[in-house]
Amino acid sequence: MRKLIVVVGALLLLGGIAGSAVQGVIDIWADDTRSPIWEELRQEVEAQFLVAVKVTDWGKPEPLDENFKSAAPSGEGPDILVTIHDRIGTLLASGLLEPLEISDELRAQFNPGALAAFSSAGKLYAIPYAQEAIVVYYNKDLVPTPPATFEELLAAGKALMDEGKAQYAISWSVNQFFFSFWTLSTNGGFVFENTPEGLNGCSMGLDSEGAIQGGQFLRSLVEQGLMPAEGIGYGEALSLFKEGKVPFHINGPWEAAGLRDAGMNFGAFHIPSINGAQPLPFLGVQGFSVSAFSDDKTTAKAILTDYFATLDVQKTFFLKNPRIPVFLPLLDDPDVKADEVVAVVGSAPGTPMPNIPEMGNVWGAMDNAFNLIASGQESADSALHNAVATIKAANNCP
Amino acid sequence: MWVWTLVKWLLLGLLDALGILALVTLGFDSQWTLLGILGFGLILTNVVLVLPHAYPLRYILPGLIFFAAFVVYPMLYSVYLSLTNLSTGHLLSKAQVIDQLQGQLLRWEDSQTLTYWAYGDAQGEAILLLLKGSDEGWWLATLADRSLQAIDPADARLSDADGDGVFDQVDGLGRLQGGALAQQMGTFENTIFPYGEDVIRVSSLREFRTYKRQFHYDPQSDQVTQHYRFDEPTQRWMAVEPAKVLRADEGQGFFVAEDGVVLTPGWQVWVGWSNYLDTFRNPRIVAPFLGVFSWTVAFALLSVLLTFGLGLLLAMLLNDEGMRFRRYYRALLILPWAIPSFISIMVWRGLLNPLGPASSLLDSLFGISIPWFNDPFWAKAGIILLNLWLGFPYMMTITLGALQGISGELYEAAYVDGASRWKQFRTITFPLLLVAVGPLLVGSFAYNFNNFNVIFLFTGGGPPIPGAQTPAGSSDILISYTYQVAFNGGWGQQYGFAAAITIGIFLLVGVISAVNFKFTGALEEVSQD
Repeated sequence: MRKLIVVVGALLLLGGIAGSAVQGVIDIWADDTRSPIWEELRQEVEAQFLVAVKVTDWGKPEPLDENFKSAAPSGEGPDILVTIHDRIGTLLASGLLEPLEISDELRAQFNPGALAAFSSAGKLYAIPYAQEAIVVYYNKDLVPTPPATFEELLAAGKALMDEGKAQYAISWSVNQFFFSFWTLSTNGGFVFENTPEGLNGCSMGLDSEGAIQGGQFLRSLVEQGLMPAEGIGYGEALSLFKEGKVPFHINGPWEAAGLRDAGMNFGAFHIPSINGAQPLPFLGVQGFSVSAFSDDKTTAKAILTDYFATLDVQKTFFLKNPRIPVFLPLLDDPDVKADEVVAVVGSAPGTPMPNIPEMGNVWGAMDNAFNLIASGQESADSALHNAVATIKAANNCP
Repeated sequence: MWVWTLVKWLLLGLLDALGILALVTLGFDSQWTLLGILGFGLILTNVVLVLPHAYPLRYILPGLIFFAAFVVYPMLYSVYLSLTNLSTGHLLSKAQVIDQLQGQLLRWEDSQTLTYWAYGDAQGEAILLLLKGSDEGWWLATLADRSLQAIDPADARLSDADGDGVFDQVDGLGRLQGGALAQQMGTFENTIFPYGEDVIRVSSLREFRTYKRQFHYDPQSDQVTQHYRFDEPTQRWMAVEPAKVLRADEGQGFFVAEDGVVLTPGWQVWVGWSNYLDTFRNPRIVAPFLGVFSWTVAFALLSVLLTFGLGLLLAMLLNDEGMRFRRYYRALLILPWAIPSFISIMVWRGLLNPLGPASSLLDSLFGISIPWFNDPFWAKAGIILLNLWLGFPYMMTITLGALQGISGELYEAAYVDGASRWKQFRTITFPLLLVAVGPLLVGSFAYNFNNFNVIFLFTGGGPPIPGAQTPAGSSDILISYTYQVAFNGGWGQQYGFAAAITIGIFLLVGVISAVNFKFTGALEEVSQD
C-alpha cells in the first residue's frame, strides 16, 4: 500500500514537466579579457533583442576553441564566440562558422584589411574589432631615442652590453613562429602564395632565398651574443626586458598594460629596416563570429551587426580592454588617439596571417624550425626546407 | 522499525521521481544514448533495492555504476573513435555537411527583400509566415511542408481587425510579435523556400531575401553540383558552366570532383584499422613513433631501476640501528614526495633554464653549459634526473617497510653460518624484499609508462625531431605524443588516430599487469620455503 502511494506520487510529479527550452537564449563564449565586458552589456542586449543572454568565460582562447569544436556539431555550442582570424581556417574546414551578411555602409566603417582577414571565398565570417601587430618596445632609461635602422638598434644594444648595462641587445620569443616570422618576410619570404584563386595552400615561400637569408640573420644574432644563446620562451624574454637586462623587446600591444603596471619607462616603434628592407611581421585580427550550429542565428547576427558594430559599444570594449581598433569611427576618437602604443601598432606595417585551413599545420613545424635555427642545431637552409616539406605533407599537397 | 521502511520507500520514490524527470527531459532533447543508460541504471537500482534476493548486490551496485560510466564507457568510446577519422575537417556527420552545403546561399545583384510577419497558435509556435515582396506580391509560407503560395491581400483568410494595415490574423492564427517572435526565430531561420528560380530565406530580424543556391545535392546519385564559385581577382561570384559535379567519397569523407578538388567541410567516416596500421605503415609516422615508443619503455625502466636503487640504498642506511638522527634524515628525505609534483617540476624547469641558477653555477665552476632543453640527450637526462628526485622517497619508504618485515633471526642464522654482508644481502634481503616490493615495482613501471606530467610540464615533449612530420618531440612518451596529436592545434587535431594510440597503450599496460600477476605468483613460492 505504502509503495503504491509512493509510486503514484512519483507519477504525479510528471505532470507539468516541460522540455527544456533551448531557443531564446543567446550563448556568448569569450575569453577572460572580453567576458566581463559582455557581462556588463548583457542587460542592454537583452532589452534590445528580447532574448536571454548568457556569457561563458573560458579563460584562454585554446580551451574555448577545443570545446567549441566538440560542442558545436552536437548542438551544445555557443551562438556567438570570439575568434582570432588565423584560427578560423580550421573552424571553416570543419564547417563550424556562419557567414555574415553586412550592408555596404557597415562594410565601409571597418578597416578593409581586417574584413579581408576574416573573409574566405567571398564570405565574411566575423565582425572584426581589434587588430594586433608586434612592435619593438624600448627601455627609455637605457635608450633615449629609438633607432632608425636595425643596424643602429644592434649597435646601441652592443654599446650597452659593452658598458655592462645590458645582458643582451634584443629579446623576443624566438621559438614562436608568430614572433619570428618577420625575419623571413624581410627579404621576400611569405607563407602561402597569393594567386587569383586565393591563397594557394601548396605553394609556400618559407624556404625561399630571402627567407633563408632571414634565418641566417637570426642565427647570426645568436652567434654574436646579441641574443640569448638558447631560444628562450615568451615569459623569459619578457622578464629580461622588465628587469632592464635588455634594451629592446619585440612583443604585441597586449603587454603594454603589464609594462605600465611594472612602472617601466618604455616606448614603442616599428621593427626597423634591415639593410634597407622593411620587415613585415604578422598582423592578427580578432572579432566575434556566429556558430553555424546556433539555434538563434538571426538574433545572434543582429546582435553583432546592429549592436556590437556601433561606436558606443566599440568604445566600451576599447576602454575596458584596450586593443587597436579596426572600427574606423573609433580611430578618430580623442581617447584612442592619445594612446601612444595604439598609434604605433595601429599604423604598423605587416602582412595578415593567412586564414586558410592549411595554416593550421604551419605553426607547429615552423616553431620547431626556429628552435633548431636559433640553437644552431640545423642550418637555416635545411631547417626551413624540412619544415616546408613537413607542412606540405601534412596538408596532403602533391 | 516501520519508520525506517517508510523512509526507505520515500527515498526510493524520490529517486524514481527525479530519475523519471531526467528521462523525460532527455527524451525531449532526443538524447537517446544517455536516456538508455540512465533508464537501465534506474531499473537496475530499483530491482536491487526492492528484491530481497538481490541484497548482496547493494554493496557493489554504486561501484559498478561508476565503473560502467567512467571506465567502460570511455574505453568503448575510444575504440569507436579509433575506427573513424574524426579530426579537423571531419567533425560533422554527412547529413550535417549536406545541410551546410545546401544552406550556402549567395546574394545576387538582383536580390530582393521581402517583409514578413509570423503567425502562430496559442502556444506561441510559429505556423505560417506572410511575406510581401518589393514588387508588391504577397505570399503565404507554410513552415510544416516548406511550401510557398501566392495569396491575394483581399483573401478572406487574412483579417486586419484594427485596420492598421498589418494583418492580425491569418487562418485564425494570431500574429507573433516582440519577445514571442524572437523566441520562435530559431524554428524557421534555416528554412529555405523555393521562389521561382531562386530561393528565399530569413536574412535579418525583419526581412527575407532572395538568394541563389551555390550547391545542390542529389540523394539518388549521392552527388553535389556546384553552380557558382568565387573569383578572387574580380572579387565576384561567377557561374560555373558547366556545373561542377562532386561525388561523395566515403573512404575519405569528402565530396570530391574529378579534378581532385575537395569540398570542405568533410564528414566523419569509418576507416577501420587504418589508424592502427598507420603507426607502422605510414612512413611519416613510423620513425618518430618507434623513437617515442622505445624512449617510453626506456624511461619507465630507468625510472624504476634508478629510484628503486637509490631508495634501497637510503632505506638500508636508515634501517641501520647505528645511524644517529635517523628520524630527521627520514623526514628530510620524504620532502620531495610531499611537495606536489606539479610545483616541483616547474621549479626544476626554472632551475635548469639556460638563464637559471644551475646553468650559471655550472658555468662559473666548470665553464660548461649544458643545453638541457635544446639537446635530445640532455633533455632525456634531465627528465630521468627529475623523475629520480620525485620518485626515490616512495621507493625508500616502501623498501624501509619491507626491510623491517624481514625477521632478524634470518640474519643471525646467516652470521652464525659465516655469510658475508654482501652474501646476506644477496640471498636473504633481496629476494624477500622483491616478494614484498615486486608488485609495487611493476606498478611503478606502469605508472611511469604513462607519466604525462613530468614530460609535458618539464620539456613539453622536448626538442623537436628534425624532419618529423607528426608532432612527436625527442623527449615525448607515448601518452604526451597522443596528447599532441589530439589537441595540438598547430598540427591539426586528429582524434581518431590519438584514440588508436590510446587503445594501444591500454593493451600494453594490460599485458604488463597480466605479467605482474604471474610474477607475484612465482615470487610467492620463494617465501613459502
